[in-house]
Amino acid sequence: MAAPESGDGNNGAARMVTLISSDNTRFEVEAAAASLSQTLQLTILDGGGGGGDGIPLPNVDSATLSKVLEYCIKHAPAAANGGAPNATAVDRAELERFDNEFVNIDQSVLYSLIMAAHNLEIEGLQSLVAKKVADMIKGKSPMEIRRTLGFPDPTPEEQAEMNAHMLEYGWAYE
Amino acid sequence: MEEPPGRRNPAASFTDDIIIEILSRLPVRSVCRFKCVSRSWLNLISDSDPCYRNKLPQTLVSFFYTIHYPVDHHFANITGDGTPSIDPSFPSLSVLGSSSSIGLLDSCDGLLLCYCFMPGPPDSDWFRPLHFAVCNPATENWVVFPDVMLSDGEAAEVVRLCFDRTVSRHFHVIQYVIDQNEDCLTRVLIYSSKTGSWTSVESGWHDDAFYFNPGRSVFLNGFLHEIAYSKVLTVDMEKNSYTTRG
Repeated sequence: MAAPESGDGNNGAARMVTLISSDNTRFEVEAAAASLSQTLQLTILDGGGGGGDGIPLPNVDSATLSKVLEYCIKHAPAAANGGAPNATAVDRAELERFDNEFVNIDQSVLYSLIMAAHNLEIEGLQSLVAKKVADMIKGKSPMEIRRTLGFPDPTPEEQAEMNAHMLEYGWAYE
Repeated sequence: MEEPPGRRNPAASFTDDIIIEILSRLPVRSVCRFKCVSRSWLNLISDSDPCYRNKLPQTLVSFFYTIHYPVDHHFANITGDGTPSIDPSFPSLSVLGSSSSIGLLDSCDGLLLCYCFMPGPPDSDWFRPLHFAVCNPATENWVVFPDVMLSDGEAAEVVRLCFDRTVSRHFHVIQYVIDQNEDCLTRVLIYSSKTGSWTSVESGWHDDAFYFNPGRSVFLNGFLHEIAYSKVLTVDMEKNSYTTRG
């Protein structure tokens, strides 16, 4: 899980890469932070993303990308320590506090975030947001979930199919 | 330029991977209920391919046991992670009677088979009617069905539960009926939750008495294999038949 050492260590300025959102906004971040993304890690290892080139991310808009990078920048030091086995309790508590506040956001941002996390394969962010969405829908009725997630109501045929399923298997469930 | 659909309703463009990622963090009871969210969720949850299936909570990974004197049922969560726990007093079964009138008989793929003496006055022989209950402890749902009436001289000592959630949502319960005088198998009783009834399958080999002393069994690919004395008895639940080997 450790971010790759790119040789610059702590001596000089950290290596920077540029990411370009779908709406053409450029974000300059430390390579170590961007490397939390499994998708970007290989490109960065190959030396991509530096200078004027930048790595285009056609599936991620600037609002979402800035949120993603906020997470990566915060989590990069711990990830560089190999998942932070020797992190202090204070560090861990601070990251946990950050995570809790980080997902305390508008639902539409949350949904964009989970898709970006999947696109970019940022494991920690994927599971953080999935957990938040799971907590949001836990205990809700199917109809409430459709409302929460903005799904359209089922067509009569769809409803009939689901009813038939529940009628057959409902004894074991609900 | 047309607005991308993800902008208007990002959740509607969740991939299966994302939905599974979310559902895998919910208790099994919620996941089952969410089959009614949409057709795609229903398909994803009920017929998901094996790589998804293993990610979804299917049942409890747990251990049930009974302590006698006084009779009390216990539940041990053996995963040690965030798996939803259930009430060890087993409230879903307590509606069937006090715990002393309930006993665990068998378990298979997350379901439990119990017996329970129904409340009410005993019959003339001081026996209260015995019922079977199959329970999904993860969802606390259960079905009760009556035992079969046996003839004089018959005994049904072994009861097996057969269930494979990857094949069917229906279960079977098997009872071996033994002639008490001859100690041999006379028929096999098969209960199907699909039909809700018992089927009696006669052995048909009266000349070749099969001394029956079952030990261990395994339910695999729709067949129940039972090691009985020096033979293996195989029950085919779909065909309502059985054969012996060895």
